[in-house]
Amino acid sequence: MAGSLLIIDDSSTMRRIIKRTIRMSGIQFDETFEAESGEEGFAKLSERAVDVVLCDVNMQGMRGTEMVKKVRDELPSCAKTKIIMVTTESSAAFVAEALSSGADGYIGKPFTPEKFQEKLTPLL
Amino acid sequence: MSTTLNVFTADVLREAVNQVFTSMIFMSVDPTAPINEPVTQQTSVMASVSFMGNFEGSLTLRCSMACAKAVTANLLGFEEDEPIEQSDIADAMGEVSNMVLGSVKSATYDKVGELIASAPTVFSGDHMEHHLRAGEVRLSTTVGVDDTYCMEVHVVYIDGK
Repeated sequence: MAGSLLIIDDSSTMRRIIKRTIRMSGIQFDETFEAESGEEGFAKLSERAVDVVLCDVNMQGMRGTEMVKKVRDELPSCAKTKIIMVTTESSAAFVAEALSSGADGYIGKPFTPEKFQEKLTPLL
Repeated sequence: MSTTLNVFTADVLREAVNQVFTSMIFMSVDPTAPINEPVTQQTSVMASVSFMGNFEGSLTLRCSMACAKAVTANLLGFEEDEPIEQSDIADAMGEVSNMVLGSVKSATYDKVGELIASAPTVFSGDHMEHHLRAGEVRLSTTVGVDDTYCMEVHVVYIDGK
């Protein structure tokens, strides 16, 4: 599998866990980038679109859903970028908020390699 | 919202720990395992995350330093000889407490509604005890981890606002 991935999470530990879980799922990206805030994630996407974004929701500063809306509103270069929220939030209200912001789906924590495979494979 | 709803049960806590440990840490959890490792009598690690909403309080995990190192190594995928720093343990245990609370939130959402979580806090020391403030209620349970370690799970909350 090919493609580029951007992981946005304010926890370096969670970014490491996500990378490990993706490796275990058997999915391989050509390039993986990281950002530690919504602001940094938006800046990186402004410079270069990627194929897939995995984005935390509750971050200091710009929330994940805010960043997604900003990307959808202001970055036509990312029109084809698939954005998946990775979060402990699972309420119906959150899912509605995430999807209305422009996200393509979400992965709840705790997650498994199989869950990443299920969610990411159709996108690549 | 009733103030007498007993929504945080030991079963909910144990299942939340089980979900996180089996799916992300690859360690088995046994709620009935005999506890051979008294946490309070050795250097232990406490990871706590606060929540607000219709209930306000905190969820805390407490285990021995040896258990915390094993959890950290598994969660972060450390090699056998890779050194584990205190900051790694703090980060890993903080994430674990956050994810356990996430599972508890999912399990109790219908009764409790949305709970907003804080950033986790992690500290370690000898003979640590968690004292209640006036009006607080505590639910505690213990599970065995990987047939070796003991993990305490505590939820402290004010019963209604």
